[in-house]
Amino acid sequence: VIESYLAELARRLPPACRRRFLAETEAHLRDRTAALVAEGLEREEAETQAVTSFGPVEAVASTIAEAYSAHVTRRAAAVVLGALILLVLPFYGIPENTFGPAQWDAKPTAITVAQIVAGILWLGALGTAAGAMLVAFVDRFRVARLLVTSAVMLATASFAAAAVGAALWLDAAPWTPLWSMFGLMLPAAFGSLGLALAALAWLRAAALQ
Amino acid sequence: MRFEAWKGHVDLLVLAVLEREPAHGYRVVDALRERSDGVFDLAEGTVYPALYRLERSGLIRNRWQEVDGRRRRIYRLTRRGATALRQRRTGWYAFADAVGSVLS
Repeated sequence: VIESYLAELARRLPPACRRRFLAETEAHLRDRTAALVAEGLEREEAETQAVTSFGPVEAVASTIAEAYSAHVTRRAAAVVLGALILLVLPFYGIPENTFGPAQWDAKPTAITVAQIVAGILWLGALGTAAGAMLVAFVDRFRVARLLVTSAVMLATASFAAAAVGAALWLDAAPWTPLWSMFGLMLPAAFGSLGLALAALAWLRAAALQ
Repeated sequence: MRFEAWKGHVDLLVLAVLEREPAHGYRVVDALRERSDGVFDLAEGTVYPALYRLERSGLIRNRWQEVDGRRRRIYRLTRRGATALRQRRTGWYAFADAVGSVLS
């Protein structure tokens, strides 16, 4: 009886927390069974009663998934905010002439526009991610997930604008050393990775709802 | 008692149980039942998500330990958990007093 209950629970639990909850559930069911057997019940009857007291497997799995999903949403919001601040900020913070100064009299307007657009989108992503953190910590998980998604989309758009700016720069100043452009793009690449991981965590959380 | 009726208070109740002594999930369930004179005869499986939630909030922590020949995850209050319990308890008594005043 206990084995089939555990198998059913395992089938319904999120993989990331399956092992933990299965171990605790099994220990609990074995304890309850032993207590009921000590009270005089037959083993099979005791196992059935232990499983019944533990609760319907769908309800237990859904409560666990809800708790896990809340944790994942908080973590996703924190990862997005952390990635934006720690990894992407340098991309916008580095003075543009740090790596191989462009030798032109007037910077082409298109590059300036791309840089401004990328910066504005990044600020939007940062604000949205901060909002997601706040909302997640007051347990408004649906809103938090919406904000996390928005932050990731804004950050992606920001990277795209920044990449356009970099391409325009290379086109206008082909003598710019390539390593400098890679140096500029590296933090953004790490930021993208962080955001992609956060988005993945979010998708897992959303799938549990 | 129906789970929905006490779901909002489960964190406070679990914290109160762990305040007396560190315990594993099974013991927490029994303590809730004993200390409520059987009123909180809940679906036992619902206590574990509450323990997980409290742990993720930093209000309790756990450690695997050998108890009665079996490995158990023993939960105990953190300092933050003790503070949260004090605050929530005060809030609850204020709420209960107010409801009592209105009802009487």
